[in-house]
Amino acid sequence: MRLEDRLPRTIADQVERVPPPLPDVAVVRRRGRAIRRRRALAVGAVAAVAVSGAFLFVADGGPRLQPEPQRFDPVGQLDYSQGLRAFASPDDDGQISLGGRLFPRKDMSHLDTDATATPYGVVFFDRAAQAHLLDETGRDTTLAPAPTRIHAHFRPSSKADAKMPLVAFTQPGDEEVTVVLHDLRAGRVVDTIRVPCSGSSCREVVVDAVDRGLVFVRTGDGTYVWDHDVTGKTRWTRVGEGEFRVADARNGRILWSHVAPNPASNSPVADWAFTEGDIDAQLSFDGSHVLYWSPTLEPTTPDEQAITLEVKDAIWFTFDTDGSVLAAANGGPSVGVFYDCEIPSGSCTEIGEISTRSGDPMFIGDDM
Amino acid sequence: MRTASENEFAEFVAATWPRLFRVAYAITGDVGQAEDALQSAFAKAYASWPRVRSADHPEAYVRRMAVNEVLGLRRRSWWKAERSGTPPEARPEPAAQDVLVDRAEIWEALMALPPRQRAVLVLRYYEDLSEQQIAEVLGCSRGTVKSQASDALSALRRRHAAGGLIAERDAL
Repeated sequence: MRLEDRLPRTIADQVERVPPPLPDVAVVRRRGRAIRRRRALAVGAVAAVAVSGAFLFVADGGPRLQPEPQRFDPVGQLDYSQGLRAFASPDDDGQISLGGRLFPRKDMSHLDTDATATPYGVVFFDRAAQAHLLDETGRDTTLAPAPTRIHAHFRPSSKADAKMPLVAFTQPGDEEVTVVLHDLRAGRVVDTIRVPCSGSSCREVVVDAVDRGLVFVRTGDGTYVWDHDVTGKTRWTRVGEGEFRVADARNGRILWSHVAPNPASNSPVADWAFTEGDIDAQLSFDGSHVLYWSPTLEPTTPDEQAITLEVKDAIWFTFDTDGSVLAAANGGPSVGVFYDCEIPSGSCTEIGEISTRSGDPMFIGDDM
Repeated sequence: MRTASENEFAEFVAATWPRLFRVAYAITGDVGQAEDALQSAFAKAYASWPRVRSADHPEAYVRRMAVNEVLGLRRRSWWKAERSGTPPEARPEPAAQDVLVDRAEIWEALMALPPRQRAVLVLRYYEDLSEQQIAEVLGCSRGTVKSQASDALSALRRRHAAGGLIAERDAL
């Protein structure tokens, strides 16, 4: 009998003599949650570790870094007319696709899934936590002065309004985090609000969504909505407490997760529509459908029909800046194929391929 | 993760763990390392559960993660350590001595192969995957799978040709 014919029985005979240990699902979950937390902190941590500056001083129980702000050379004209179509290879020697052009990923390591894709370009943070915009001309513009202090492990966050030319982002300061609302079309700061915090609680101040000019800010003691247009008590009102999370907000609808909202009666969102969903789900720009790891977008109201994208074997999805859906599928060993899918028709167009030897494809500036 | 999804994940682990453990064990030859690799793979699957469960074949997705976890263990010290190649429970029974001695010798030869070659043989002859499927699991080309399998089989034959056992039976 040939060796090849004996191998199946040989391997089976040996491995089936060893009873599998019982899986410890609790440990698996704990490790899985740790992976999620590390992913969430990864970009901030990498930026902190990679800085060329040294640890300057130690305070509040942890080292602080004072890296130099960065400037980025122009990359040439980009085309944002069909959305940013921003996606990238996970491979160190892979490519990033942006505005119809391909770049070596190592040349654009500052663009990652933690940035925010907007119709005006990619809003991203440098190693000094200063906010930048890479616009359609390929030029880099800073959106606010460089923060003077960075809390250890502080991770800046940003979100964009789907209908208005607004982006909101966080900037660290002394015993506070400043939320900045910036008008990308006008190129100016609209307003800022200071969120008091201390030590590690500052890292809990996160911009979760922007819709109709209202900014949803998560803090250590709940999620609030900031209405920059007003003064007084309705400028900063509670939306939810504890583990309540805003997954997304579009067109007057809030997609929430974990714990039900309990908006203050004077909140500008008290009469908004609320839809329960998963934390990594997204709303269509008109708020009518939920995108969640599937080519089928589920309606948020009984009046709407589900939308099915005409794309085969896609696993990864996100909304592009023009409201279409970017989808990615495995196109063979170590190849990711990307599509742009129109809403509501569901028709999809292949827009490119990238290598995926070391992981999953990434949507730059918008990761589910 | 919501309750329904948590339950779904727990059911998935229960259903797929034994089989994937055997695959991991067949590649490592070490119970503890197989368990570690599998736990890491399932933890990553949990962290990306929406993505995993949306895959056409979630078990195949996790198998790929598990195999790569096993191969990643090469970077750690265990791979360099001496291993007997025979699990504690796998001693041959006297009643079927000849057949089991033969299998034990092949198993030992398998354990002596480079890890990727071993993975190729396990996936081909235990998991019954095609060359294309193995290429997808290992993230390499089909040609690489073919050459690794050929090299592995040659090495198995060479290792025991001196003893004559495999060569003799192959001639039958």
